[in-house]
Amino acid sequence: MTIQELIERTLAGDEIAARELHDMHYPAILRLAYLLLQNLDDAEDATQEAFLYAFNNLERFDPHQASFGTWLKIIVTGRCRDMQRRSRRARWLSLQSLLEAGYDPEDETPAHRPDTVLELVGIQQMVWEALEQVPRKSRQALILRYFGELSYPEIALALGCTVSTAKSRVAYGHQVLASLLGQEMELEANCSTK
Amino acid sequence: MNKHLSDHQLISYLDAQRETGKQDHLERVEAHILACSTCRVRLERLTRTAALLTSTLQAAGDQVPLHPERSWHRVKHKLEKRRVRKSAPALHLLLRYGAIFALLALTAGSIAGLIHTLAVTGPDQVSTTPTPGPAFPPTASSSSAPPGPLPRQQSYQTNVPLSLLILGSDGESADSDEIDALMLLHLVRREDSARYALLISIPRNLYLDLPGGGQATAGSLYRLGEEEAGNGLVFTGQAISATLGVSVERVVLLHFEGFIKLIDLIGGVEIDVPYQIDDPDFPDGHGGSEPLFIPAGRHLFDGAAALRYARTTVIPEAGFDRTFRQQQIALAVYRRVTQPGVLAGLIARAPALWSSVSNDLETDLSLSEAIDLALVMNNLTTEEIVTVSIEECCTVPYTAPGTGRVLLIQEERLEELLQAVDVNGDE
Repeated sequence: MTIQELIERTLAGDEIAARELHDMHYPAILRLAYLLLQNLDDAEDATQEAFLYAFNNLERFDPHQASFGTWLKIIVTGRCRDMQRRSRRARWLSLQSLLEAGYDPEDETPAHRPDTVLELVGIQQMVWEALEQVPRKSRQALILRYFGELSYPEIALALGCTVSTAKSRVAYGHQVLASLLGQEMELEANCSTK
Repeated sequence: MNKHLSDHQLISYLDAQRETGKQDHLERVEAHILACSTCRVRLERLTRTAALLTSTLQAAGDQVPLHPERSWHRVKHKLEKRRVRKSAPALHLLLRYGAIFALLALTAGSIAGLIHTLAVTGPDQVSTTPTPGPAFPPTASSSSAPPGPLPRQQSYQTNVPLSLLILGSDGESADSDEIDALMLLHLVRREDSARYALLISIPRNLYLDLPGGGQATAGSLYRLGEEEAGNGLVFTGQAISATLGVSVERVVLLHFEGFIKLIDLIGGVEIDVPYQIDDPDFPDGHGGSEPLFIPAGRHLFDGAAALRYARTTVIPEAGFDRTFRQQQIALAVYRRVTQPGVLAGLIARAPALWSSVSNDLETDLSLSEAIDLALVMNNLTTEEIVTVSIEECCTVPYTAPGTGRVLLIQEERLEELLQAVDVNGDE
């Protein structure tokens, strides 16, 4: 059965078709959400919210504009951005009371709270750590481009920016990442020659 | 040799290799790369970075534990809850019409009260005695009253609930169980049979005790009630009642989108936009943006335009915020609905109205109670609706890790306020 047929059946109330749509796209959507949020619980919430939104707005899906999978990726990116916004706001507000209590923000450097799902090794660990240092907006754009395989207009839609901004964010992220990896590799080379 | 290519040009070149239709651009850059060893090395570095990034993201993604079964059950559960809400029990057609007008008048009437006291109403300001309303001598119940334009001099019904908690959801979140606006409508009895209505607005970030222990914000009460007690309406009513010390007899949840749909059915609303609105990042609902520009001046908004006007987060001038704009819309709807000619027109379109309202409404208010309450509300003038803002008069901000910014009740101030507005009347 094609995706379009599954969508039509879902619209007609066929739960089995809805389940098939969910199961077919769930891995890619959860993985994308995880890479964007770096927290499994949040990624699962964002994924469920994205499917819920998609099923409740299925009649709005236009197969001429994007594939169903791409549509879901755009939706889940929006949910992830919402969660990050809420989390940043709550974090900033919480910080005020923590500062009063003598908290030193330097104690905690990452802007997010990654969990410990990943066990990358070697060069991939190095790339992952470098990616974490790329500014957030560019990091998101890189993930959508190189993992989500979205086009620039689709990245722009997902991130709520213009196509030229999406291009700039990918290019800047790419540039920063290449520079960070270059430094890392030089350091490693120097260490191994000593 | 021309000057070196920028990183952006090289990255564009890499992109162009992935996509078609950019051959001219490719040829020129390619010619430079062939001739320039520096740019060739830089291109190799960028290419390697892209390859490493792709393989790292793939490896990271592959390690994410998958639980499709659990995810599907959660999605299905939420979908079913929404379906249940949408498939309200069918009512006799005649009674449906009554319910529409009851709810229209009730909701519009209640919300419109806010408009008349846009300036913040604290205990000192509220302590003035409200204008006595018309008398409502008790009569036999007319719960089976036929539909039609609501009479201005309707008898008071003895079974009118004295307090109704109105919950509003603006539908922005995929999880529509989060509440964005809470208002307690409280009818106050007086010895001389005159009465007035209090409309107490409750901030959604009010931090309060839960009926079963623990604390949460007012905006999350409905969701918690649905998840933990299986009845969000009752749970929310109990928590608000315990916090304010005012009884909550019935609860109605109205999705703001449903209210907006009604705007189309009443032919739109006229709004005076005092300041130009320019919001290039207005969300399109799909994670992207759709620029919004509204020039200053008088506009006739349809439902969709009104919704955009209410939702934009741009504040061109202090005070011209979302709350103000939503109140503007509510007042415009109220004015329109209460025009006799419009009410007559609404009767003809009652089935469409019902369809709009029933999909976006949940309440434990019975139909007869809704009609009776609407009749009472319809008899009140806007001066007889006293508005109270709890946030301004009786709360203190509080921020702690895990809670974000919330508001805590100042109990003494709240008590003063409720005494000042004579919340218990002569009961």
